[in-house]
Amino acid sequence: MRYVVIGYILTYGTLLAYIGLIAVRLRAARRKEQT
Amino acid sequence: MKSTRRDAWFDIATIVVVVGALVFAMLSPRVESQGDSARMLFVHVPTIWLAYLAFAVTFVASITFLVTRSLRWDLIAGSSAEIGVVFTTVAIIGGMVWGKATWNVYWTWDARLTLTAIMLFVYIGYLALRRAIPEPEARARRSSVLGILGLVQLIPVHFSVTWWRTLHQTNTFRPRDIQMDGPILAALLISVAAFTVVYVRLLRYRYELARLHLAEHEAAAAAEGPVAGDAVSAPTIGPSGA
Repeated sequence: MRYVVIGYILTYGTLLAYIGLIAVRLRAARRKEQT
Repeated sequence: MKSTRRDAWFDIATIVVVVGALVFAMLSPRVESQGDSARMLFVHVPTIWLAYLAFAVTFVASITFLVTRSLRWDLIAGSSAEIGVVFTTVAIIGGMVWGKATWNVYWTWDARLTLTAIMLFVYIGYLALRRAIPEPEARARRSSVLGILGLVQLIPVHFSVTWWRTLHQTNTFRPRDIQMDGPILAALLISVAAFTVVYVRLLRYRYELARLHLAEHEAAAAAEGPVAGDAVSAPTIGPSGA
């Protein structure tokens, strides 16, 4: 079970990190577009 | 393309579907031969499926760009390739953890693992090529060639487990020969559907980001004004230019 927990944390963690990165970059790009 | 109320509802629905898939994955019956480590199936298979889908979308969008010359298709190709790289990385990392649990090694130079790693590096190269060319038209033209050729790898990656004797198991999902219990199959299909919805949402936002960057580039180019030498036209050879 230990490896399953590690695997799920790495999978969902990487996806969440990528989603967060897109969100930050998108917010910055939208702000730049408005100015 | 601003985020709308509809986008917010789609995002909430995506979160619900992903949480549902997680619950199904945890509640699915234990596999006798592998124990709990078989639950990695519900993240490993959907992530590599999404990588295949993302690279296939890059392939189709690259061809469509070359036919229509619309930069919109190039932005879709680049956005999908980036998402594909993320999903391939996740599939490899998840597979390594599963490998440690079942084979007792994180990595082995097995045909499936090696070819998947090569595919990852080719698409990282595709993203590097895009970053190296600032001019949008030239970038689209050159990267579309690699976007089309890159998909050829998918065939040996997918069939490596049947062409060669590998440590990696044969393809999990064979529509004509399903050897999975109903609840496990249902959990797997729900996970695949959930990850596909995540891909669609990611592509929508990544495409918008690419579109904003292109608009910023075009605005900067327009603001620069004419460059010295712009007014000089190339001489023509022939009767009219003689």
